[in-house]
Formats: sequence, C-alpha cells, structure tokens
Amino acid sequence: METTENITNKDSFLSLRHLVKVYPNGEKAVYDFNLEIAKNEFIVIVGPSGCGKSTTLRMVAGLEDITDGDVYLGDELLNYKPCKDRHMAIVFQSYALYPQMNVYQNIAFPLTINSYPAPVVNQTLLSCAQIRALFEKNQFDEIKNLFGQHAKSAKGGALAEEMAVILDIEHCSAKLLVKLLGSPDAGLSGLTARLDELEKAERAKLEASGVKLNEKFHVLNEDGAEKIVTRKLTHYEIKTKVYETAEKLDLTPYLDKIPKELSGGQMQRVALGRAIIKNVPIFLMDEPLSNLDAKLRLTMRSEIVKLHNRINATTIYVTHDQIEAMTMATRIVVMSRGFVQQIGTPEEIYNHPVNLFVARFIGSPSMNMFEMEYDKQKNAFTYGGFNIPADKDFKGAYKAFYENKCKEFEAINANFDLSARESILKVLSILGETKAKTKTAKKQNFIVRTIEFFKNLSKKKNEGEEEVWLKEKTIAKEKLEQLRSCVESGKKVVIGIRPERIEIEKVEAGKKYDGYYVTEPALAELLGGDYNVHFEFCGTNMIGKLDARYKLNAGDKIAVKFSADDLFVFDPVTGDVIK
Amino acid sequence: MKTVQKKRLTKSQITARNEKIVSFIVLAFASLLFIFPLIYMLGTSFKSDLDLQMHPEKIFPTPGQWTLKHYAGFFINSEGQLDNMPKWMFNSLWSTSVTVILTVLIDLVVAYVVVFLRWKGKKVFMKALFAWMAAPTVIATAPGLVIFQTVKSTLGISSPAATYALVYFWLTIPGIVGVFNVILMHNFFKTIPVEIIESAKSDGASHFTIFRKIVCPLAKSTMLVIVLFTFAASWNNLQGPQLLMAGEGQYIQTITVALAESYGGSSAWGAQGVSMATAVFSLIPVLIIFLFTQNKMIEGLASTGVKG
Amino acid sequence: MKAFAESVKDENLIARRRQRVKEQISAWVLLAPFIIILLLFAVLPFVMGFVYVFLRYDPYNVSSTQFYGLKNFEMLFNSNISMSQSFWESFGPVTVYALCTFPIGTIISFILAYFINMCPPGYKFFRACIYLPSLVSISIAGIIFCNFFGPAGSGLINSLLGTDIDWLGGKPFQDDFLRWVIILLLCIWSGVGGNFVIYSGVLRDIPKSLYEACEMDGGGRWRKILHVTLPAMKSTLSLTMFGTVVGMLSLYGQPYVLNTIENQDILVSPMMWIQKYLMGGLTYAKLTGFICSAALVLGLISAVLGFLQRKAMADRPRGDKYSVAYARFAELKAQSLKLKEEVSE
Repeated sequence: METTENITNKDSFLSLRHLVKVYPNGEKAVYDFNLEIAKNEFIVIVGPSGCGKSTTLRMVAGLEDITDGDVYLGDELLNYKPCKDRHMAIVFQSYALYPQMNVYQNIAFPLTINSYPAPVVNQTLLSCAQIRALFEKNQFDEIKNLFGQHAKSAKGGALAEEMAVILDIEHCSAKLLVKLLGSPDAGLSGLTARLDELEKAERAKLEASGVKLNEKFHVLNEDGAEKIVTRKLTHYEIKTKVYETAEKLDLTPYLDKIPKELSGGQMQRVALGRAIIKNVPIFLMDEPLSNLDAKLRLTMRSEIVKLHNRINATTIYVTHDQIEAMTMATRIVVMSRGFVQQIGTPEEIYNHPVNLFVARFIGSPSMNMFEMEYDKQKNAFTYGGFNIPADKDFKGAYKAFYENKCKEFEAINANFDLSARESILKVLSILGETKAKTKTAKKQNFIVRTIEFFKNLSKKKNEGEEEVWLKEKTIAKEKLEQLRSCVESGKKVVIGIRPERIEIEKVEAGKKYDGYYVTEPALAELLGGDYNVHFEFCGTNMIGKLDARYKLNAGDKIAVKFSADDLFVFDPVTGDVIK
Repeated sequence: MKTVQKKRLTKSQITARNEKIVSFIVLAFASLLFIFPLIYMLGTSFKSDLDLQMHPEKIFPTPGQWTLKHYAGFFINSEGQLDNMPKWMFNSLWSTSVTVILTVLIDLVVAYVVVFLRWKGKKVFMKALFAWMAAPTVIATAPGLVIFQTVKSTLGISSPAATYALVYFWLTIPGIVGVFNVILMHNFFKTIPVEIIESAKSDGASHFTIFRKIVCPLAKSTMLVIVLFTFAASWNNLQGPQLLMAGEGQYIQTITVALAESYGGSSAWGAQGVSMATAVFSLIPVLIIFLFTQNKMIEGLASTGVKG
Repeated sequence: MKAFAESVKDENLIARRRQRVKEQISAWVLLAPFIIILLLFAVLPFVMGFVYVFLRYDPYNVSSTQFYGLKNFEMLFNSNISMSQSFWESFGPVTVYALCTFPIGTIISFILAYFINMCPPGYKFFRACIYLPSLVSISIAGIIFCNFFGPAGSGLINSLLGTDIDWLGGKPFQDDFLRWVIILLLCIWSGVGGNFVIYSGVLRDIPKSLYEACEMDGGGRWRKILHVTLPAMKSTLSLTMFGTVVGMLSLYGQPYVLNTIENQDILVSPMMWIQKYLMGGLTYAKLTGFICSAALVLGLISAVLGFLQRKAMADRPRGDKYSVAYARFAELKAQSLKLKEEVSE
C-alpha cells in the first residue's frame, strides 16, 4: 500500500555521532560510538557479551536513553523522539510476541493501534463499486447463500466483518451489502437499482460541494493530488498487508495459531513479520537467532539476508557470533568493553584487523598469535634460531609507529584527563587486561547499607574514583616507558597469522626444507576436507590447515612456512597493528 | 543550540521520573492509610483513662500522660491474681508452634517422598491431592464439628483438663495436613535438578542423608514461606477454635478467640485501653515473624500466585 | 567362570529388587501419617457431610440416629420454617456484598501492584505496609474498627467529624448502609494485601521485552496495560476473583467482630448462619443433619462457581477463521491474475 512509502523514499541516512551511555549506577557501557550508515546497508555490531552492542542498538531504537551524542535520521535529530516515531522496527532475541494473540493479530498489531498517512476515500462510492463488481462476477447466488449461512450466527457489525473477510471487500462495502441483502426486495435487479440510486445521490452531493475523486474514489486536493490524512487503517487495508507479509514469510498456514503453538523458527518469523509490516526504513535486530538451534540458525540467517535484500531496508544487526557477522554484513562494527574497535567491510576486518582484539575475535579457528623478537639490524623476526624475514619497508613503519605512539602517550601522561583515561581504558580493552574496578556494589542488608550511606556522607565523594584513576595513571606511565624502550632498540612484537595462511607441508624423506620450521604435530583434527593441525611454535600452540589429501599418521612430521605477506605484526604494549 | 538540546530530558526519562514521583506519592498515601489503624491501636494502648474519654481523636496520648497501665492490667487482674491474658497467649503460642513445626516436617517428608523416591501409585496420589485442593471444604465444617462432638460425648469427656487436651488435639492435628503447603513444597522440590540427588546417591549417601544435608538446606526459603503462612493462619484462626471451644470456659480460649469474644463489639467500651493493649500484645508474635522474613514471604506469596 | 558371573548378576538383580521393595515400603511408611490424618480429619468429615444430610443425628445421643431421607432438604427448602428462611435470606446481603467488594478490592490491589512495580524509592517498605494488615487477625481488626466507628464519646471518626453517627447499628437492607460500608472497608483493609502481593509478583514476571515491543509498535501506557499487562494477568486475576467470591460466601469474621449489641443476632452470611447454629451446643444438636445440608448447599454453590471459573478460563478451541479467509483471499487473487493474463493475451 502507498501509506508509508513517502517515508521509505526519503533519504534515510542514519548517523550515530559520539554516542555515550552511562547507566544510572555509574557504569559506562558505550564510549563514543560513531557510525554513518548508508541506505540499504546491513550493519552488524559484533562483540563478546557485555560489550555494549545491545545498549547501542537500544539507544538507536529509543528504548534506552542516550547519555550523550546524537542519532540523526537524515537531518532529523532522533534523540528526543519516542521510539514509535523513529521509523524503526526491532526484533528481539526473545521474539516478544503477544502471547494472547494469534499470528494474524500479532502481525497486525502495529497497524491496528497506530494512525498512518493514507488517502481519503469516498466510502459510499467505493462500496457501491465493489458490490457491483461482485454482482457482475455472477456471484449473486453464492453471495446470497453465504449471507444466509452467516446471518444465522452473527448479527450487525460482526456479520459485516465476516462478510468482508470472506468476500474480500472493504468493511464499509460489507456493511452496505449486509444492509442491502437484509432488505425485503433482495433480488439482483432490485439491488442494482438501489445501488444506482445511492451512487447518483452521492455524486450529486459531491458535485454540489465541488469535491473531485480519482478512479480509485480517493478524494483529490485542488492541485489534483490525492488528499492524505493521518488515520487508522481500515480492516481491509490491514488484512491485505498482513496477508502479504505472511506470504513473504511463509506464515499463511499458521495465521490462527498462538505463539505457544509455534516453533522457535516460526515465532522468529512472526516477529520479523511484525517488524516488516510497519514498512519502516530501518530494522534493528537484537541477537535474533541466538535462541534457535544450530541448523535453524543457518537457514534463518540466509532468510534474513534475503529479506533484507527484498525489502530494501537498512538493517542494524547485533550478534555475538562472528560467523553471522562475516556472512551477513555489508559492514561490521567490532566492539569490546564499550569501545568500537574497528568498523569495516567483512574483507577489511578479516584482512586488515587494526588491533589484537579484532584479529583474535574474527575468524575461526582464530588467528595464531605468538611473540617474536624484532631484530632491527637484520630486519627480521627471530625466536631462538628460527627467523622470519620482514618486509623491506617494515623498518620504517616500525619506527614511525613507535614514535607516534610515544607522542600519544606522552600527551596522555602530561595531561591525564577524562579522555586520556578513556584511551587507557581502550588500550586495556584491546589487550583484554582487567581494568581497575569501580567500586563493586555488593548486596548488603539494609542496616549495613544505611551505615555505609552515612559514612560516605562524611567522606570525600570521589575518593574511590581517584584510587581507580591512580591505577590507570600508573598503567599509562608504564606503557610510556615500554614504548620508549621499543623506539631505542628492537623489542618483542606479537606476530599473528591466520591458520588458513600458514603453509604446511607433510615432511617427505629426502627432501630439504630450507626456511621451513619442521615439527611434529601435537594433534590433527580431521574436519572432512582438511585437517586442523595443532603444533607447537615459539612456545605457543598454533593451528594450521592442511589439505586432507595428505594423510597424516602418528609420527609424521610437518614443515611449516610463514610468508611475510601474510603476517600481521602487533605492538604488545598497545595492541595496535604495526603493519 | 546543541548544548541547549543536551540539557533537555528525553521523553522516556521524563516518564521514568514522573512514574517514580507519582508512584511514590500514591504508595506513600496508601501505606499511610493501611498502616494508620495499627498506629492508632498502638497509640491508644498507651493512653490514660482521661485521654481515652476526652481525646479519642488523638492518635497518640497527650505528652506526659503515657501509661503502661493497660499492659500491666492484663497480667495481674484487680484481685491481684494472674489474669486470663497470659493463659490465652500461652494457649495460642504453644498450639501455633506445634502446628507450624509439624506442618513443615510433614510437608518436607511428603514432598521428598513424592519427588525423590520411586514407588507405585505416585501419580494417583498427586492427582488425589490436586483434586482435594479443588474440593469445597465448606461442606466439611459442620460434619467435622459433629464428629468432634460425637467423639467427645462417646468418650464421656467432661473434665476441664481432658476437654482442653481434646480440643487442642483437634485444633493442631488437622491443621498440619494443608494440601496447599504440600503442593508448594512439591513444586519447589521439582525445581531441584535430579542430577544433584543422583550424584549424592552415587557417592553412597542414604535417603536420610540426602534429605537432611542436601534437600532441606535448599528448601529453606520455601520452608520459611510455609512457616509464615501456617503461623499467621493458625494464630489468626477464629472460626475453627470458636466452634470447638463453644460453651467452654475462658481458660481454654486462644488469644484470637478471646479477643473477638471478650473485647469485640461496643460491649467493651469500658475496656478500650485494655483491649487495644491486648491487641498490640497479640500482634507481636506475628509481627516478629513477618519482620524477620517479610521479603521471602512476599516473594513466596507472589510466586504461589503465579503458579495458581 | 561364566556361572560365577551369572550368579553375581543374579545377586545384583535380587539386591536391586530388594532395594525397590524397600523404597516402596519406606515411601508408604513415610506417607502414612500424612495420609491418615488427612483421611481422618479432612476427608472423613467431608464424606460424612454427604451422609449426615440423610440422617437425624444427635452427636450427644448417637443411639437416637434415624434415617431421614430427604427430609432435611425439604426443611431447608421450606420457606415457612424461620430457620431455613433466614438461611436463604443470608445469601441476599452476601451477594450484593460480593458484587461490591470484589471489583473494588481487585482494582485497588491491581493499582497498588502496578505502582509498586515502578519501584519508587522505599517500595519495599510500602509493600510491607500494605501487606501487613492481611496478617492482622480479624479480632484485632474488629477491635480497631469498633474504636474507629464507635459512638461519639469514644469513636475516632465521630469525634473527628464532631458528629454522632451510629455507624455499626442497623439491620440488613433497612438502615444498615453504614455498617455495610464499614464491613466493606474492613474487608478491603485486610484483604487487599494478599492479592496485591500476588499481582505484583505476576507483574514483575512479565518480560520487559513485551513492553518494549509494544512501545516500538506505538503503544502508549494504556495500550501497554491493555495488550501486555492485563492478558498476562488474566488467569491470576480470575483465580483471585474466584477466591474473593468464595471468600465472601463464607464471610464470617468481619461481620462477627463488627456486631454491636443492638444487632447481635443479625445474620449477614450463610457461613454465619452455619456457625451460629453449630455453636448452639445442645439446643441445636438434634438439627445436625439440617445444618449439614445447609453446609452442603453452600459447598455445592462454591463448587459450581469454581467450575464456572475454570470453564471460563479454559482454552477455547480457536477457529481457523484467518486461514480460511486467507485461502479465499489467495484464490481470488489467483483468479484475478488469471483474468488479467487472459485479457492481455
């Protein structure tokens, strides 16, 4: 229907600027979230549980208050709008279906309670035309039969409603039809005459008042366009929309079922239906698949992507599952502990992770990480006797990186303010080190709490906070020291390599393996197509892939080679990527 | 411009704040209404005779005129002898305690047997219990008394001591088999994972050990709920004891019955202060139990409602 | 070797079976006290309720027992006998009364529970305050309310208003409107707490996401109450309503403690009627069968109410209205598509 298209056609460039969320208990859940979303994008926010991804989504939806920052839809500031006016639909993890309503009512619910911009229809003429069309299709006897049957069980409004559903006509037409069929001269010719009469009278009335209609009986403005008012949709309009939606989601056989009687996948589809029937430009999904079993999750994953492509909506999808993120997204936002770590297309995120956290989090099996010494003179990474040559331009990159970082940390140390503290917290979030805890509110009984309350009154207020700050301050100092030492001489770096990029060969007797690292695998897991080979390297457990055509038996040795192009080099102090 | 916007509250923040304010006012007002009669009772119990006559409209006694006279009055009567009040309190206290202890014990054992032992007829037993829950027990009130009277007359019991024993037997014992409590406990036991019991069994624990060391500690909160329900119900029971004690002397009455019969109605205007003091006194045990575990009790009551 | 293994197996089997039997026996032994007491003190009187009604039975003179047939019921339904007449009359006030109390009580408990669920500061304290009156025994409540509504010299309300209103006097359906209001007040005061706590528990358990979904769909506060809160509370509401109505039928304590000397003998509920004659001792001992039949009638009425309640709450079979309508819709659409194709050809 054309009711909400005007919204869809508008540019729905959604932008989230400097979003910050602080919960009432003082816990900061989201730090400075920035994202510009183009139309039709499928954004996936991914991160471990408790990283603030759902909070971000809920702030966009308007279910959570925005502590700081703005959400814009086009030029429109959404911060202070109630969620129903944000032109968004959300799908919850728990589906949130109304348990007392059947599938039809659940899907229809948003339409039944809201008003939408819709054209004004001249009901009299519309119903006359619809009834005439019914009669012309030679269904008169059938209609009379149906009327006879249903008039026994229902009366008045209920009867009209039933006839409307059965005959697929507007409610007002059904009302008129019931009136006509209920009258004593219920012959076909008599009724047609009555219709003529009605139409004539209505046309005359319109003529007198100067109102013009188009061929759909929509009232026109002076400039010839359809007159649009915000009104409740009619039963017929709702019905058509619900059926269309149900068809899209294959829900038509279940229209009369209540949520209790549906399977998880069906419930999820109903929840999707309730979202898409609103015809809004933006979809929000809060881990919609995590309540489903593994197999269903796969199918629903592709369903959602297909649906997204078909209805051309912008989607923000929150998940903790990096595979979902990689497969569904046009762009991924990786979050950890409230910080955005990286935003980019799946390829970017996979091929160019900006820091240790992203590199570890994306990819399965996850990236191998090991520490090696960087030798400036040789421009190579060494561990024991083994060394991997680095790129020619790595030396320069290394120097530049550490000089920049030093400056950054000097600035932080020079002026340890709130933003400096947050950058330290971000570094900690990358490295996965525990952050100094803000006072834990232990559950205590009433008396103890009251005593604490009065104690705190006499104390300086932010004493506890200062303690935490002090901890972070020392961390900042330590980091700076470490960075400085790195500039002067080569130090340890963290090398990362994807399991699928490690070149592994089965060692054959008599062949020489120069530049290879030869070892015995600790474990080889056969996945069907290939092996996940576990082996020891640089004191860490590594995983590599080997084609299953090479049969690995116990006692077989493997030769491992790392090509410099596939290596990621990270700085162990800040966790950022050097190259 | 931007900074001005920042200061504005979002709509949901405003609603949340308004909700808190409105609900606080409404609830504070409602609480005051609900608690006021009890406060008035407490205040009046300390009023002097003059205050009682002159200032019924005052909640608390006139300053300087507080008196404990009414409290002393029901311990020792005007003839210098022990009054009935301590007897009633004693009657209520011991019978209620016995009922509560036996109820909890029986509920624990029955629920344990039903949930964790394997025996035939379990399903039939539970079905019977549920059916009994739905039975209109009003029917049993009259015949129950009739049976009691029949027993009493057949045994030829007439001495005060024997009557006392019989009446209190009849008062406490039927009270301990409340089916509702059994089902409450049963529902709780159902939520204990069977694995815990099975692993204990595989460690060689007997049923008695499992019952005492594992199940009972877990059931503590449900036990408390039952204790409180039973205590309040037994302490406040008016109708049952009234029937059994009809036509007997005052010595046999429980505090609740005594209060209703001796002080109820306008017949007791002269003893207004004493009646209030007695009421305060008789409320204390229930109050103590309530204060100790009110959160648990309220949660428990709430959860029983959910289950229906 | 094999034989040995089998003998071990047999032994195990026997031990196992013995264990089973032991468990079976101990289960029944442990259940015995409960079952015996339940049968003797709860089920037996219940069953005897159906027996005594056919007898002329005097507990003080058991040997005089006679079979009475349906005579007790004949008496009960004979309105010329003043006792039966008063029994049936007592249903009148109680019905009116139940119709007043239960909507008022339910609405008040619901509203309070709704507000408690917003968790304002100190809500636990408020919750305790509102619940506390339901723990106060009816005798205490009676003493307090008698003091509130006593005559001018001693009643709180009268002295506050400076009036002399006889709140507690009067006879049913004549000039006792005030007394009814006070009984109603007492019932609400002591009855709201329980339902309030139950409702607040149910409210707390409604998933938050449902409210959020409703908000996203554009529902305001009333929509949320109408489409989320009330449907979730439906079964609990009906249960507590049923409880209230049955409680009203057996209303006893409240009117009993609010009796004054002038209206000592006024009966306001069937339960009071039963209680009164049961407490009559020897005087009414010969009428045992008659009283039992009244109790039976009362019990059956509440059983019928309970049955109706369960019937009303039972899942009604849902039709397939929408699927059928959709089938028709799809058919018509296919037809019109066909028509269009034909036309274009």
